[in-house]
Amino acid sequence: MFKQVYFHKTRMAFDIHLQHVMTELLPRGCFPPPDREGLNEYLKWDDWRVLGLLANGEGGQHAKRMLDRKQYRQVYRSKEKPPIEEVLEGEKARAERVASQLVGMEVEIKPSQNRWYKQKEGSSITIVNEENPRDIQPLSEYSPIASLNAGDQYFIYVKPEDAQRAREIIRSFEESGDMRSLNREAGTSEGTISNANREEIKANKKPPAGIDAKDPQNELILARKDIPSS
Amino acid sequence: MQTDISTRRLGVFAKLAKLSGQAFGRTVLMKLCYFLQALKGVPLNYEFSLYSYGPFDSDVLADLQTAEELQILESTVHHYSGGYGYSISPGRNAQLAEQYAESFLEKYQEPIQWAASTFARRSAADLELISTLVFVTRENPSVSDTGLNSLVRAIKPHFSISEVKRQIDWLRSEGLLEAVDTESC
Repeated sequence: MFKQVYFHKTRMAFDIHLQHVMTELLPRGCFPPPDREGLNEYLKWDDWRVLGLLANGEGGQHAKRMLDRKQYRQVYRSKEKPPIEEVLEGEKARAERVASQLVGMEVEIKPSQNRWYKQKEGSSITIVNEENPRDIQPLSEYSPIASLNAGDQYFIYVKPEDAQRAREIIRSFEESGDMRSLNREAGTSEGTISNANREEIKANKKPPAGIDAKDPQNELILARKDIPSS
Repeated sequence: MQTDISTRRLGVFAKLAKLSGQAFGRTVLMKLCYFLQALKGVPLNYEFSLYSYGPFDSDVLADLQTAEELQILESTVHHYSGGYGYSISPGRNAQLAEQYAESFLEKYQEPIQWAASTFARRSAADLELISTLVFVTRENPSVSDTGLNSLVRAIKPHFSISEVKRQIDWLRSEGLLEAVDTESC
């Protein structure tokens, strides 16, 4: 199910477009709050309404791509079982390095969290010990599968007209050896990248043309986790 | 450059295993992560909830599995009459994990050293009680020591009043019952 449905490259592409479409269609880019005042409005935003708006030509260029089947193409996916150096470097950092090579293209980095059971506060499955009802443990204490973390994967998508060139750029970038582990010079004051490498990465890492990296709507373009940048 | 949160966690695991000087179990690792975050503000980004044996986040176990798969840590299972337990020690890639998280480990060197030397050799029961005391205090910041004792014993009646008091007194003497701000990273 994961490989053939959830992580299917075309289905994931439509995820990207649908997010943009909903941002375009929704008032102020978000759903009305499902509270006492906004609940009725919130409930009106169903599939029929959205599909009707798309059919009427609304939703911007991403809606048009969905209707014309000219969805973005996947040009990079991180490994499911990367070697240790890639894990420690961080799959997100690697994907961002790749994306930074695609200068002038609209780039979407889509993360996918591979977690069989998403256990966060309030959502854990708890097990009560029948012999000792005061002994309450989360499922992961009894089952290693419940805490299995297959690792996050990152996918890069570009417009179909840019896909071939993007793949060529990525292939030569990988072949050039620049995708090796980041420089870990001893004594580097800020960790795993030397100053020379940092400047090189900064120079290459321009936002795609026309994309304002500070615009919150462009989160979809420059994927980020809840960790503020230094 | 911002280190990935997984890289930091794996680096911390490797460092704790090395500094502890002896193998420890999963409960100890869980509580060490809790103490680092709750008492010293180390930004490990875990979300702990209170369960029977104290604060718990399944992400710690998930990260431990990752660390074992990458041979950053080694786990041995010990069977005994009452059940089984784990012994965790540094794996052959522990040093590599520390290198990738070098800047983070350098920044938080003191609290990591403190956590390892203060707690790594404590019993699971001690850690269960201490971590529960800290957790309850964070949820009830204005509670008195007497009230805290009652609250914790209501959750954990297998601890005596004197045992709980002893640990409260120790935490107070170390200044560990006051809330700290987790540094943003």
